[in-house]
Amino acid sequence: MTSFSQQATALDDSSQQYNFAYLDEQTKRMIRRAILKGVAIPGYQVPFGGREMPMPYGWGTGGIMLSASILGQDDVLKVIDQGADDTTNAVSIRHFFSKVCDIATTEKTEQASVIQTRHRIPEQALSNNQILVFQVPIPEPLRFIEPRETETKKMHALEEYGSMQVKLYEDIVKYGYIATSYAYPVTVHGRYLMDPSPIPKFDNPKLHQSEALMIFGAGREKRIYCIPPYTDVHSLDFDDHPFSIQQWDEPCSLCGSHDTFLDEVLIDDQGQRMFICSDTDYCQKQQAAQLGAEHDSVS
Amino acid sequence: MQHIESGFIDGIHNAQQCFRYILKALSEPGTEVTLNKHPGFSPLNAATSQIIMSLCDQQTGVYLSSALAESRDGLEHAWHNLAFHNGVSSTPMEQADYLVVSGTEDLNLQSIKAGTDASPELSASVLVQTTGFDKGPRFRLSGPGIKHSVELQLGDLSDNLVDYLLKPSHRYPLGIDFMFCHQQSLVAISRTTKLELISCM
Repeated sequence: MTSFSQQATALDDSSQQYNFAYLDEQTKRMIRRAILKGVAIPGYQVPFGGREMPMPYGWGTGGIMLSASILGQDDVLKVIDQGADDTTNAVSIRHFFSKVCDIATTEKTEQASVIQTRHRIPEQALSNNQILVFQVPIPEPLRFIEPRETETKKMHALEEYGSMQVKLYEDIVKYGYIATSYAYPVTVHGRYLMDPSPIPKFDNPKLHQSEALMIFGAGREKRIYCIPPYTDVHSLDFDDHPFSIQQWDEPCSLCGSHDTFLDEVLIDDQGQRMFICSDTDYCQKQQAAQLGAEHDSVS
Repeated sequence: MQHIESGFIDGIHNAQQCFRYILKALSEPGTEVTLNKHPGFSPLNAATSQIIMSLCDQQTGVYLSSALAESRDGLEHAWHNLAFHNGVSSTPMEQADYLVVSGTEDLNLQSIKAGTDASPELSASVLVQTTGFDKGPRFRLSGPGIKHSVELQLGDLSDNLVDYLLKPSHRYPLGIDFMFCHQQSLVAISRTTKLELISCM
């Protein structure tokens, strides 16, 4: 007969203490139904019964609940935080899912079937069999204009989005151009105003007619919204101030890319700085390709 | 006498696999997917049964149309099994979240939940058991989830169902999402999908 302590150790060792993907099946069904509604009404924020997760709000609980509801045994998961695979948030979420789902994880964009992301869309174009899961802090694009949920819900119902145009116009009056550079508001399928989560506006064009399904989860606010593949997503602008994305004067210091989103990194206390790709996987791939090319020319 | 059949062999993973196919079908309307994890509880076909088993429980109202079975008792078998495996219970048509109907029956789609302007998600999904995807009127589909357009057939459909698909009486974002099921095959039509009639046969 096994002693209590032996049994306790055996329990500790097994990952069977949790249901597959942490959430219970009834919660998953509820979230899955909400995702399907979100897909049917692109850009509309579907309320759902958010659950307490084993990490604080702000760490991506919305995205984690979505991933937990869609992941299966055959999925390969990639997690990025501001484009990087190796930052705390990305590493801990990847570990969480490899523990509670026992699934394969990757850092390579093209190998992943599900990519959970915080505030970036990978540089490499996504394919039709991939799903991108966004972590969203504040899902309501109108929240800073109108703090009352009862009112913003009404504004969405009535398609009353003029105040958002006014906000962008105020940017122009103040700065001479639209200064909003992240969480740049979009209209989905010509109807709902949507906050694409705090991705840089550099990534907004990737939302339009995307090959991949994109789903957004806000844990604290308990909202899910989706953009199906091949859906029109329009970034708000004016005829005389058309939407434009960020550009940099210099290329990435590491891989030399001219067409990626760059992070500014301070490198000493003299004000020296460098610009590097925020998408670590893409940057490393570019560097490897250059190394390979040099290698070929030498040999 | 009640006869309970086995449900999903691997409940957790089969439900997840079915959900991913349903998600694929609804996010890309017109795409045919195959649900092959369960043979179904007659008179529901395999695809219909698996959708209900993957998505429904005691929190959802389910309606099974009497047109699916030849006699009134014909639905008992499906109800017993769905109640046993998922805890679903019968709900009147007007309050149901998931409805299973026959494609050829005379449907009153106006009485089905279509959501409200403030909460369009409070709408029903209609699972249509159809006669196959190689007969019936030919449609051209376009809209979100469809690259350019696709052409397909949804089986023999009643006139008012065809009328609703071509010209929904609910104004977007209100509306009904359809899932057409034949044997193991599922084709979904979202409320955002625009249908044009190409030919009647």
